[in-house]
Amino acid sequence: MIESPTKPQHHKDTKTLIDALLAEQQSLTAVDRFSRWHESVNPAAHGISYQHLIPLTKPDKGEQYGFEVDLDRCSGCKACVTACHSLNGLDEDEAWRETGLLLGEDWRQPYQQTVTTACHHCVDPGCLNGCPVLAYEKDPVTGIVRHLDDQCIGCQYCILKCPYEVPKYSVKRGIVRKCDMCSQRLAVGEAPACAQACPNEAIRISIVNQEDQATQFRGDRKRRASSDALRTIPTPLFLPVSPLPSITVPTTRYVSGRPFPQAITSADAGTTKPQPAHVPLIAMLVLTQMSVGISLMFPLMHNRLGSPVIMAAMSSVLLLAGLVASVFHLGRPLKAWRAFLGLKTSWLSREIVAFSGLVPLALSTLVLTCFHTPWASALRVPVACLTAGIGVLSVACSSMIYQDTKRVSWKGWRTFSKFFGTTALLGTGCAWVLGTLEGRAEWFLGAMLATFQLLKFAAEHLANLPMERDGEPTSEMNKVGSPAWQLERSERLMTGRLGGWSRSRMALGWLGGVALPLFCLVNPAASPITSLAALTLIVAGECVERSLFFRTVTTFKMPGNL
Amino acid sequence: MNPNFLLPSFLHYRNGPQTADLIQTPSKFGLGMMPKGLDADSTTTLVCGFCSTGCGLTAHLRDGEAIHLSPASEYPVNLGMACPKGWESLAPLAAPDRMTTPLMRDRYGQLKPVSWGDAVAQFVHSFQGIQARCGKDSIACLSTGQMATEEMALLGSLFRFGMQGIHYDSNTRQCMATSHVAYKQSFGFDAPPYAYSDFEESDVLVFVGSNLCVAHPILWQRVLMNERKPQIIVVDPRKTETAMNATLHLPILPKSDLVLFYGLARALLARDAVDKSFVRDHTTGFDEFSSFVESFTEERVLQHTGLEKADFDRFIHALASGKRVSFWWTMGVNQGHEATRTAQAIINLALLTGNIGKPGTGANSITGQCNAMGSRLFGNATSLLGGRDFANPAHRADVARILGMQDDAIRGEKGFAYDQIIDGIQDGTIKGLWVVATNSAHSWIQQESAREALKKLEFLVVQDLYATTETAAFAHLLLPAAGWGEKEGTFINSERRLGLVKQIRRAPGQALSDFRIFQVIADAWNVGDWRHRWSSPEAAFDLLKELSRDLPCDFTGIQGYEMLDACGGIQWPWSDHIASPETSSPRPAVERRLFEDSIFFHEDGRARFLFDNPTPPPETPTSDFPFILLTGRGSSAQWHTLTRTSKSDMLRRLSPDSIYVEINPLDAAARGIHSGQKIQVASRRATITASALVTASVQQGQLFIPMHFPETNQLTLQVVDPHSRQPSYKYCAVQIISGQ
Repeated sequence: MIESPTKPQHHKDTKTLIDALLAEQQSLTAVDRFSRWHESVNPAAHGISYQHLIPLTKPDKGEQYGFEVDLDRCSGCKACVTACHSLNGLDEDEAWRETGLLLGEDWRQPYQQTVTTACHHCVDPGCLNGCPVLAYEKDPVTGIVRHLDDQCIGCQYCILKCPYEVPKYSVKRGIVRKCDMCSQRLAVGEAPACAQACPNEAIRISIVNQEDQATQFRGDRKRRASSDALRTIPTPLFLPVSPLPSITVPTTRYVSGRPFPQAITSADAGTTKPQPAHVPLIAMLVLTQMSVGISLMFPLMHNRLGSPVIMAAMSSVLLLAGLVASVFHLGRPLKAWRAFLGLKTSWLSREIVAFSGLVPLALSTLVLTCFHTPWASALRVPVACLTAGIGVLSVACSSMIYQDTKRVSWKGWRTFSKFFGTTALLGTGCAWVLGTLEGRAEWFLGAMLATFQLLKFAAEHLANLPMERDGEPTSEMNKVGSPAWQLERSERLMTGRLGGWSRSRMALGWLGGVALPLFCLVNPAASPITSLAALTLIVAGECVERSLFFRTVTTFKMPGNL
Repeated sequence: MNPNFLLPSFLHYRNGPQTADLIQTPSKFGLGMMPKGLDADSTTTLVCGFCSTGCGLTAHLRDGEAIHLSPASEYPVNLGMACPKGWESLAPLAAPDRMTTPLMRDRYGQLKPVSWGDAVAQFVHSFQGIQARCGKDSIACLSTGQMATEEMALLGSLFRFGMQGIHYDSNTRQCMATSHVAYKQSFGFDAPPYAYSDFEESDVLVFVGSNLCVAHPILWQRVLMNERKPQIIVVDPRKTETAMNATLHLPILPKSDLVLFYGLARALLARDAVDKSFVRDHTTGFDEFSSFVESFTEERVLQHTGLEKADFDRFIHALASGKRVSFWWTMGVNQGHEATRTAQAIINLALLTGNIGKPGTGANSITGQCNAMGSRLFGNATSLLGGRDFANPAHRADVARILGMQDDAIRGEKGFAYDQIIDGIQDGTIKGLWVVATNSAHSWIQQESAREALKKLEFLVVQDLYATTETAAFAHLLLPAAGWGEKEGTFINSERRLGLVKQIRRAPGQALSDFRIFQVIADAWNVGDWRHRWSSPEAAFDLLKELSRDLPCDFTGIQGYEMLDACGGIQWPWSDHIASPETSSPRPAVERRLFEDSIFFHEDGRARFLFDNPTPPPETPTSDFPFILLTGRGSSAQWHTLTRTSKSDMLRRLSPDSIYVEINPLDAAARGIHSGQKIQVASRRATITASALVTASVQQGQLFIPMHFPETNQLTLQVVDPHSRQPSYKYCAVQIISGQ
């Protein structure tokens, strides 16, 4: 506790001095005093000194620009990142270049190396192929993969598609942005910000032959497929502890005269962070799959139900609700109507088109179910079957969206089994509940439901295990990044940080999908409320499963920092 | 798709508001293409306020205020480059938690805004009250290496001459005291002899305890500009970024460097690789030194350092055969229990081989803070202003005359060093403390002792940019300071270059520059007619010039701030007699080194060989605490206690999220520890939790934790070098308690 002065001791002078100094503190004098020394600076002085870091000529046909990073000159200062942020006028927390750290794991070979990485301006860009609205284009001359910020709808699919975590979503802007190799600087003969700013000239732009690059990383596929010696062909190196370059054929070249140690890892390899949950997507997937599941059951069930209209209506309402939910995922939903543009290469585009086609079909089924005229009765089954067929196609498209990211825990059968598992489970569940609500508990539906739930559990369990068909290790030099490693990390999240979620998922499924249906089987007098409760639990279980699907996926990434 | 085919614009927006946000336009002033919204109407260059490299940064001004910043392409230090901290210099100034008024703690412990008048009245009342009750020496002050030289000189004068305190030290005690003492004893003056061009002109560069790549990235640039294909030898227990780039890395056991350098001296003597005429004509103590090193046999060196014989031989050969050998050291040397002798062991090697005063040579200490060198000359703590001696009556009279004071205004007694101030508070000798621009509650070794001491104080004043530092939490009174870029003054960098800082931003609220705060306090304390003598930073600069006259650091030839600005900084010495128009050129050469005439600053003009028997560190590993804990810089994006660098989104992004400990793979495997796992590290002082990072960069039996985290110094042990009283941050014994 301090004692206050009994009376103010500062005399008047001090007060006026303080006022004068406060005023002085707010006056900026540097310009008046010093700017005259800077008038003589040659306006071009800056750019000229860095021109040797870019090629003298434009790329020829079949060539493009690529970053070249001399690891032996990179001292780990990370100025490239701040320069990218600063010279491009990016948002406060935004930079298009990142650094990471490679570490030696063998005690006999101490090793560390900082790696700087930006967009690799791939020969076969995942972002561009996945974009539903053609918001990416690859410059025909320079090969620079440019993002059209005003075309972007903020669906963030490019983030899932890029193995290098390059596109970054801005909540504030509702779009992603990414490195364009400072094309505006290159256009006037200036080096990109990162290259200019590297004190050691470790970053430059060089010309890359696209076909050589593709052959180098992807090889002659036919020869490789036919060869038993697949694993003995050394894959040309991109960078250790990095995504397999065959996915998108990156053009950045990491050059080093120092050999990489055999046992190598990245500084962030030991840390596991959950990925975003994407709540609107969870809702969209569960609701649309439920809807398709109902459509699948409809041709079998419509004659057995007293009021099949309810079933058809449920399918339509859930479908619409799912699609509405998906809109909340978009940063710029009003621009999303252009989503058909990417049909040629984007599974997201295909999914959107498929579901858009499904809506009128589902509504037609509903309408045909409402009317009992002969032509309506005649058309009902074929239209319902068509709806179910397009529904299956739509769910397949949904699955392909994730399969196409090449992430191991989303690989083909893993996603397909989950998505179609949900479809079957929830379709059966709805049919069963509708039956019980009408007082006709169908024992075979209850049994089917429990079977599907058990099958789904089995599929989810198998999905966590590495399989032979997962293919080559994604990293060329060691286990970091390999399929088994990726699944292990997912598993670590599932049992560790998200253990509570995993346990609730099991509890919900066992209770809603197995225990309650079996209870109703042995006890046909059980109230319809029980079946309704069971369905609610199952749906909740599926939502939790889907949230784990998103949150526990191991993404591909470049070596990171702590 | 045919690349020439363009979709109609209603389908395909190639332009629009988002695209416009990233448009660049060619800018004036040689800045190249710049974002459109950031057009400057003028620019000016100022020196960076983080480390001692002293890079020039070009502020892009609009209406006189900085809106953006980039490295200055024409500044001789950095040649258009900056590290992340430099690039992000403006961000900490705009932090939302800047202090905007003085704050006083009320009886409930809450900080409440008060006027400057009340704050200063409280300052004077409390300190004078303590002095009246408990004696003049019951107050102390801890200053900084982060202020302008003019501010340091004014604070040093105010506290020691005006307030009549003697217990006055600064955080340069934590980083540069060793070099200061080592140079002073060896050369006769605290004089790092080099220019940065020596990095480029060396054949053999020896880095001792210096992770230049991360600590001084812009100096590493100069190493890579060396076109002589130099050998780069790095002496460091860790395989640091710099060690990775070495042609020879010597991973010695921690704190075995003294034995290594004495052994090297012996080996060089044995090979007759000695510059005999230089040693004969320009040094003293050679004979004693050569008989002293006799006992440092190769066997002893290898056993003590853990080096391979082949590596030791390569080191000897490099030194013996290299034409231009330069030695560079940083905190690995300065922060040790026998640091001064270690620095001098390096100086001895340079003297022995005549590697001093010539291009690409020197025994060169690379400084830490942006103005540690200013603090060493004009801090007025260990040395009287200008590097003089407090105990010398003639020196005191000189200073009193220049500053227009009575002779008896300057007390000759030696005050407490930092560690003694902390101890003095603990034992009740010191009751009032003024902390300026430093963060003792985070950075002081064996942190708990500092925190306990701060708690005991009757009155603690903290002067800082933010009220949120660890130390501010203990303060009774907080004074809001303007930061770098919000005030004028000069810094002195590692190569003795005086550079200019300018007022290019308005300070928030009522924050005042440190200089102005000292003016207000001097006035309220009623120290006499200081207002006119110390009327502005530039008036203070004229006093500093006068104080430097006829000293080794004489810079009387610098006419003023405009000249500093025009020359891109000027190294000392630059006296008015070398600068007079009749003699050579009125402008100094851009890069100059000392001792080209081999005349040193001792009265006999000779350098000294200084040495002592090595002693073991006070706390060595035992079976209970089997690991040696090393501490040091984590990344180039972090500065010291993170007070400023944590305010920048970019710098935070480039820094580790939380505290981590590096552990060797063998030690990790033996304990079943994997990267990312939380483990507990304990010393005899404290136990902390950190994430493990398994890496062979640290040797078996050693752990490394970056110093930037507030937990780190809970573990360290307060041990100081007997000559420099600099703390030994880089060695204490710890254990790992099983992880979670």
